[in-house]
Amino acid sequence: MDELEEIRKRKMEKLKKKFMVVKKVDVKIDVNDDNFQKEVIEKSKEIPVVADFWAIWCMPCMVLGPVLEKLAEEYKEKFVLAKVNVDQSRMVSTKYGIMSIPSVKLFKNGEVVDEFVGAIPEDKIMWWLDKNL
Amino acid sequence: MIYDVIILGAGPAGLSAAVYTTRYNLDTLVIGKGPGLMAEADEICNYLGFSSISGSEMDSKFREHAENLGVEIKREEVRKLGKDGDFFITKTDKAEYKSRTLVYALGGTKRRMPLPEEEKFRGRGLSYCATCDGAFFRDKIVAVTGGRNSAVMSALMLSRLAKKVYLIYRRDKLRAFPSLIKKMEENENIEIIFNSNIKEIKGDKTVEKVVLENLKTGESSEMAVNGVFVEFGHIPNSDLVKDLGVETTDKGRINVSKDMSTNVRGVFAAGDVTTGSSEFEQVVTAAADGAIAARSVYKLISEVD
Repeated sequence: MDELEEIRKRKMEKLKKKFMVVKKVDVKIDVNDDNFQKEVIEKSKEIPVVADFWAIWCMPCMVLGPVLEKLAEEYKEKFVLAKVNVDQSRMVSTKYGIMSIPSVKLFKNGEVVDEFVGAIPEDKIMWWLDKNL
Repeated sequence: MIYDVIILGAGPAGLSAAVYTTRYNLDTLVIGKGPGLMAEADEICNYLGFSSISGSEMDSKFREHAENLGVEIKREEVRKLGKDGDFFITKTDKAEYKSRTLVYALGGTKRRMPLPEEEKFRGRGLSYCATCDGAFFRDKIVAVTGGRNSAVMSALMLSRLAKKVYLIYRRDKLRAFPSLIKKMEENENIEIIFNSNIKEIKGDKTVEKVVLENLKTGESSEMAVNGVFVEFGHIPNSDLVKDLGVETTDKGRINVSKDMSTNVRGVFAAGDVTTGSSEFEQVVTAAADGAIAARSVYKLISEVD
């Protein structure tokens, strides 16, 4: 019986870990052409969504990305960060007229309410968030 | 904690300096908000040992090298420099640091398009980074402005994606490496327009047209383009160092001696922000500047101790 108990315990731990990970991903989600409608448009009707259009070959995106991810943790439950990899989101990128990255758009109720282009400093991003959230 | 040296900037000059100061066993801190202009280069072909490598890959390799040696790199933005007795104070967006010496290697910022409509079109067809934004101009028509290496390299990079690339330059002769010019001249996608400037950008929401001015004849003409890539070189990021009384040229480059020292004792500088290496603006010269600056820091500190 001890052994069974042991297995059950281990399983519970595993599940716990799994759920914790799921919760963490919640402040940040990877988005592409297939799930943009659900994760950005629909989601923005419940909570503001900050969409970060980026690509692996864009160096300024690599500067901005970690800052946004950190802020998403700090602003937990105030907004969700959607990481839109433009390579996997060509239709969405075209639809929203992306011509320069990094490009960040704030969605509320399915609409873009504000945006900025380029890797701007953290305090400016916070100002932009506070103004809009 | 008081560092022996704080290195401002994490490009080739700063990281090379850090590698050497670490070799000299100096307590070193590097502060740099992120990859600089080198990392945006599509291809680096003149750094010995690398026949072809992208700027971003080179940036990772440099960082990795420094970090493997135990160099501490803070991803923070330098806001203000000052003095506290014999020590230098570096204020960033997050904290304040103290050091005995400084190596200033903050590089440059790309020069903006000097037009009132710049703000309207930035991110809407007007770009400062061909490697970042080139992909959005697949099968489109683009213009590159400038005539130095960076302009020619951007034109070459864009010619792989765009339908047509115009290179617009105000002079009658390009100032890039002859090998790059030759490569470009062989490329049927690229057309060079000499003696001309972009006088105006037009478009409803995004770039649609540019108005060109021929500087020889004074004539204006319109040309349909979807994008404009600006390569007007860079402005040295030397503003912060002026608070310490460090002298710069009228173009903003920090005056350095052969040992990379400035007019202020304890402040050294390296790379594109300086007058060093006869302003060659290459990765190899920035790295060399950084190495020399590190040695000078060591000399000064061992003299004092």
